[in-house]
Amino acid sequence: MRRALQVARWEFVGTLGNRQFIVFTTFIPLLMLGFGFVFSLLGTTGIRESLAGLDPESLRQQFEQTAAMGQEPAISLILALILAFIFIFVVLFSGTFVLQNIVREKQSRAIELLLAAVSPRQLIAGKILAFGGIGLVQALIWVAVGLALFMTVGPYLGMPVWPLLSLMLAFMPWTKLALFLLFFALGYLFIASLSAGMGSTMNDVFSGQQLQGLVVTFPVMLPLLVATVILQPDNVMGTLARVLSLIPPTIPGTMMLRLAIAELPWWEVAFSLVVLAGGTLAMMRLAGKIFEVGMLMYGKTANMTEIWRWMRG
Amino acid sequence: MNPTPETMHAEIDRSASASSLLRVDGVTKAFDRVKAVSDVSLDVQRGEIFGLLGPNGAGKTTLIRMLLGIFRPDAGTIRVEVDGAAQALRPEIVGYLPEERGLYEDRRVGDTLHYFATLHDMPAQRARERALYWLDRLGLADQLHSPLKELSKGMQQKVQFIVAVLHDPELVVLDEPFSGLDPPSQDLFQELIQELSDQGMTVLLSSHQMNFVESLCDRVFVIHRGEQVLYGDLAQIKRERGEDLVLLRYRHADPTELDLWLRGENLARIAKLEPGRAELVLPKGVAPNELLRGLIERVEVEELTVTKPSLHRIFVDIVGQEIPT
Repeated sequence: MRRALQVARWEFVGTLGNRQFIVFTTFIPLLMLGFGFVFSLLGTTGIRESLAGLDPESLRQQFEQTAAMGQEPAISLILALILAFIFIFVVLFSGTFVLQNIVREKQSRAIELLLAAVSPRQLIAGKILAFGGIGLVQALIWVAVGLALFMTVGPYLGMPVWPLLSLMLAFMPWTKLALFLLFFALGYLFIASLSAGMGSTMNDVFSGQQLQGLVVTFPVMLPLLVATVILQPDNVMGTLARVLSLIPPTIPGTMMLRLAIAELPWWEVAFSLVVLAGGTLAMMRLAGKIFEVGMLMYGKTANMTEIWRWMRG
Repeated sequence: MNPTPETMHAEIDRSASASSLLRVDGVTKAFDRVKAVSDVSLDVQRGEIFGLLGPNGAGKTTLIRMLLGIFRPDAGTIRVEVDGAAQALRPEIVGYLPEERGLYEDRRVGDTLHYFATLHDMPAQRARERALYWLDRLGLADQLHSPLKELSKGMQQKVQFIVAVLHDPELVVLDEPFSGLDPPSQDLFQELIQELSDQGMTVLLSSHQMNFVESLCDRVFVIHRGEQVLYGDLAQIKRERGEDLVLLRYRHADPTELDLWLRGENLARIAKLEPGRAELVLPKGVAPNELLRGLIERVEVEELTVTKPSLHRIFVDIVGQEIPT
């Protein structure tokens, strides 16, 4: 574990100083600021009136009513959407970081030296940890900027900023938040392990981009793409929603959305968690095996037959 | 060589020398049913410079990776003995300069050295001191804070060398340390390797540059197609395996006659025969004198040079192909 932490620290510090990372992390908040600016310009028209209609007192009554009826307050949905978005961004970018980092280490042959000192498991664990931390830093920066934006631009739009915030805190669904974060963490571990395994079979960063899109990006984004369907009250317990709740890469996004608008039976939540945790453990083992063989095979990107052989070996 | 105060700490009591540090016994490794290393056994003695030779694709790198614990052998055992007791192969015991080289382009030299030294379990403070010592030693003192990519290729290779020895390992594995270096740096590396060995570090040297192997190594192991083809004391191997080469310049003789005589007497094999010049190989057991006696009666010897076989020659004879250098 100590060695994994040493690796994690090295990668974490290195990435924080990386130009690509800095540009990327600041680019997204700048985009948000841009939107905020446009919105405040538009604030003179209809939006201002509708936003000003957000009366905290009537909202509170609304929330209390829905809570009394055993339904979820709107705040859950907003929170779920925000977290699902953050999850997708963090997982996709951190996963890509893990993959690129591993390919680069293989390309530069630094891997030879590392493996003389650390085991493949320690190395993978360190990297997953580091880029998870990087993703968290990114997410925190974005959330902080978003919040700051809301607090500064909100008043210009006529929003009662502080009452709205205290209302959010009062009705925050803490249990669900904890569940969200659990799905989030497990989902990240799954995708990061998958990326590590994939990265170790590649000869250069570009050779795997299509595969990465198919295996990682698409399933992770899928729940959001079909969110309008899943979020229908009739469909939240439907076949699509349930199937997506059983496929590891789509579990986190789907479950966040479903939990947000419905009270799911506890066993269904537990089952999804077990499937995701089991899938994550299996993926970690598999990635470790592929990594052990793939990392020291230079000059070509492995094909599926070879990868299959390594997984069994 | 007198140890300087900086190098004193690396001094290991050599009174216990001639004990083995590394014992490899019947090690085999196959990839997809192709045997890369087949039933290899060898001992590396504490404090010696041990040469591991073989043509490209012979299984050297696979063997080295097993010695370092990167690969697990399919069969056989690898044991490390420190202070007479068998030990697991811990990272602090070994250092490695791989043939395939590369480090982190964007990271500073000092940070990189520190990272690898601590991964090899050297305390942080000590790692910093040693890094400064080695950078200074290799003329890179100014590069402590430079990103690696700003260094020339030769300088990067020196940094790689430091990574291998910084944490004072018991055993350092140097795979082609001389390739890509300019002659002065090659000499410097040779000097450093000798110095490390004098201080008690055990060196496993793999190289295609036979002149360095000859001047540095005490014992060698030659691997070909995954199997041992030669193993033992280098001087003894040269005595036993090699045939002396004779270069002859002569006058007043017909090459065809000379050819006929040489073939008839079985005193030497003809490598090359032209008017006035011949290259001959003395079979084992034939002393140069015997050849000379016969020659004097037939030709006027103008020049005669007898060369002891080079490791290069022996290697090529065994392996049967020229090796790229």
